[in-house]
Amino acid sequence: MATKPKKIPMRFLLWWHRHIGLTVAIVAIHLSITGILLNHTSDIGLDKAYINISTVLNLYDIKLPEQLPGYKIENNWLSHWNDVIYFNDQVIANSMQPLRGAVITAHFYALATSEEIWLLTIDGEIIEKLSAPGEKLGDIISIGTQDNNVTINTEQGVFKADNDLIAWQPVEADSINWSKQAYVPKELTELLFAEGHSISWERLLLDLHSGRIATRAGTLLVDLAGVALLLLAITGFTIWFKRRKK
Amino acid sequence: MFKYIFVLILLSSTSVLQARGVYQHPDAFLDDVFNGEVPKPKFVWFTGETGKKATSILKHKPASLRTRYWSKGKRSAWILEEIGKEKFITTGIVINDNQIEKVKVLIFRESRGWEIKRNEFTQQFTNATLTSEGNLSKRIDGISGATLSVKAVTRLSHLALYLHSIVVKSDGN
Repeated sequence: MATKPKKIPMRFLLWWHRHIGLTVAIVAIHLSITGILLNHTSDIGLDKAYINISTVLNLYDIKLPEQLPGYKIENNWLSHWNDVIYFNDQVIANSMQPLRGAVITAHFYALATSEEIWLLTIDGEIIEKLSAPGEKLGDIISIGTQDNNVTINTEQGVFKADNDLIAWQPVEADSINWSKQAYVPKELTELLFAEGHSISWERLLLDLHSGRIATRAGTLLVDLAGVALLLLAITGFTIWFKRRKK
Repeated sequence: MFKYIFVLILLSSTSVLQARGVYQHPDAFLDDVFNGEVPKPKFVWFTGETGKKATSILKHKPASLRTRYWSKGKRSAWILEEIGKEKFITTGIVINDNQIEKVKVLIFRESRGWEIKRNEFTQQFTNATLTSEGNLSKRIDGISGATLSVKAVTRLSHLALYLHSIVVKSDGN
């Protein structure tokens, strides 16, 4: 004779439902608030607003560098920090490629990343980005000038551009004024750090929502909260169903 | 059970691997377009009316003050960049007689939305023209999960058609 399955007592369900609810309440509030905000980050501009609170930046291991490498052209500093290329304290554009140098020619400033050459006005505005030498000449190692023309040292050798940077000719590495790396003045480095530009509020919200802000422990906590919310739904539904039957 | 989880992990990692990268270097794209005889590039400056119209198409100021193009006869090729969500998508666009001949995603740097590189998506632009109101003549179907990338490539295609119409006038083709 088959035994009848044991019924789960109502008191047991209620006890668990109440205690799971109380335990997970704070995390549920946190997930709801961050979730709602994440749905509207673009509308309220949180994807373009950057954090400059050192305590928060420290969580991402972003610290004020002791010495920030950069390149000086005339009285301007070009630097690369946290995937952002700066012209003094202005953001020019994001770049994941390292900055290789910056030079002045007769008509413009030119900076080189490992894969591109950017032509800039004297105010740091981008005239044009050139990726053309990338495939043919290999990665750019350094940039310089020879007779006012942009010259690059690449994995394939040294090449000099014409005035419009259309054609590249191999040249001897002599008599080239190579851009030399220096260190950005401390005051400017501090200003860059104060202005942020590396971590957006959207990114912070996302990491708070997923728990990644507190590394593995945070993710695990959010995972556990997820399981608890699932149990809450199951116990809640079971209680409702049992009461409905009565 | 573990077998299924393993397959799922494998599939998701394959999808991430497909995501970012240089699908075709701009030089190789131009070589293909002009059968190895790439003409000397010319420039279009985003100043005056051209700048205003480009800003209205892109819905923001162009990222640079000028862009290059390569043209031969009634064809022109454009290597243009636009941000999808956070990073630039480099796209090669060929215009032939005021119609889009080809759109190809060349470099994709975002972590999501790589599906726009598929031919089924880019072929939607083929034969698109500018309407008399200056809009794109074709409606482009989106891709779920790649909305911003789709919009970026659509804006670039629209811009390339507009820039082609400008240079055709100035070059006298």
